Amino acid sequence: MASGVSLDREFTKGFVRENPLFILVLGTCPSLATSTTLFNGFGMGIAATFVLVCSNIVISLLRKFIPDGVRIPAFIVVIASFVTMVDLLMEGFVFSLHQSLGVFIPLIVVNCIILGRAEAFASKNGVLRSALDGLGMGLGFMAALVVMGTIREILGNGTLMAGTPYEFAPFGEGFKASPVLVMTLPPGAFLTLGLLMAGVKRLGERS
Amino acid sequence: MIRLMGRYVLVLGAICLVAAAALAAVFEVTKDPIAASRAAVERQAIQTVLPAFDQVGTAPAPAATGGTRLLALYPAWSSGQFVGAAVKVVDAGGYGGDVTIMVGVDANLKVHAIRLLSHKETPGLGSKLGEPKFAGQFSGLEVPAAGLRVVKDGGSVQAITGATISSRCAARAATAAVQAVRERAAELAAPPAVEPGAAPAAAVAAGQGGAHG
Repeated sequence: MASGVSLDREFTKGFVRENPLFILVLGTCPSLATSTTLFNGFGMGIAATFVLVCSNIVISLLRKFIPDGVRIPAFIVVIASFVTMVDLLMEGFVFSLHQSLGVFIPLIVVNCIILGRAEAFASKNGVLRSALDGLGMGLGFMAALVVMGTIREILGNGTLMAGTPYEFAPFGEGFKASPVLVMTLPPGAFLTLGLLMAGVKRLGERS
Repeated sequence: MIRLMGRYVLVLGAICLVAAAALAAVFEVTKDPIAASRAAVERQAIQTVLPAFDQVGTAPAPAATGGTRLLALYPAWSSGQFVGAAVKVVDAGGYGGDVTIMVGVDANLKVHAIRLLSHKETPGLGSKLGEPKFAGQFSGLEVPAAGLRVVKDGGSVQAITGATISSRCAARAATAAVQAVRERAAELAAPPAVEPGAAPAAAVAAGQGGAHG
């Protein structure tokens, strides 16, 4: 199914036009859970992008070999294997990063962006397009998480870049002492996601 | 129909086989670095939860109390004087399952410091267990007979907002650790004889081996 879409559009569509979180509304569960701070969102985004690119490439390569009837279990095996590998490799070789992201890595298996792109794109397109699609979608997901994490961290925690050496309080120490806690809690996640979704939709309609 | 089913089984089986082989290879490669990193983190945790010491050993961990299990007990001495013990505690009552905490208990049976080792609590809420704002309040705490409790349960520990369940884990872990050290204060008081020249680091490493062996 070679489409006439140019390769760079395959890459850029994930950012706004087909943003996985705000437009496709995939992977909302891990997004709500891990966008409490900028750094958490960034970490989840990076790990998900890596798995998404790898699984898209492998599934695109195997797309002629996997019969339709068992494609979902086959995709899941591929995705879960990559997630486990990332988990082991990170713990073995970048231990401090794994310490801060460890809780998010296993969550990637259940992130339906990965399975969604495997099913909707990689199983019907060539390797190069699938890799670009995975990279664009992954980075678009990361951008969405970083925006959500930034808003929720500033309002709900009174800090920015917490978890890194560059942490600071954008609204001063007074606000940090009594921030709008609800923004860190699940209701704040829904509020942020809903408002951003509306905003991105508006942006998409205008252009 | 049968042929199609056969193909399904074959393809899925092949994919699983390749995945298993790849995972086994990655596991083999990363096994030793992971074990080394974990041991280093544990050593560092022992050092941060105890007063300064020059010798550390290992003592058998007592049996479980409720949902709280003690994984390892590391008594420490400075110039032959007992300065306290680090206790590695797992509490199964976390919001996301097991919470593992290293609790340092000083020679006066007060909590010296606690340090979060591993958990699956909600990022941004329960994960704040490890932050100084919460963990710091345990330093110098005496454990009452009824055990440490969070304020909501009639105790003195300030729980993390929105994460009372996680906060209770830390209170229970600190209580269990202090009780364990209190029970064996007598046998921990004197350091075991070490051969001259044995570095403290070597003693810790030996303790690690004993705890896991």
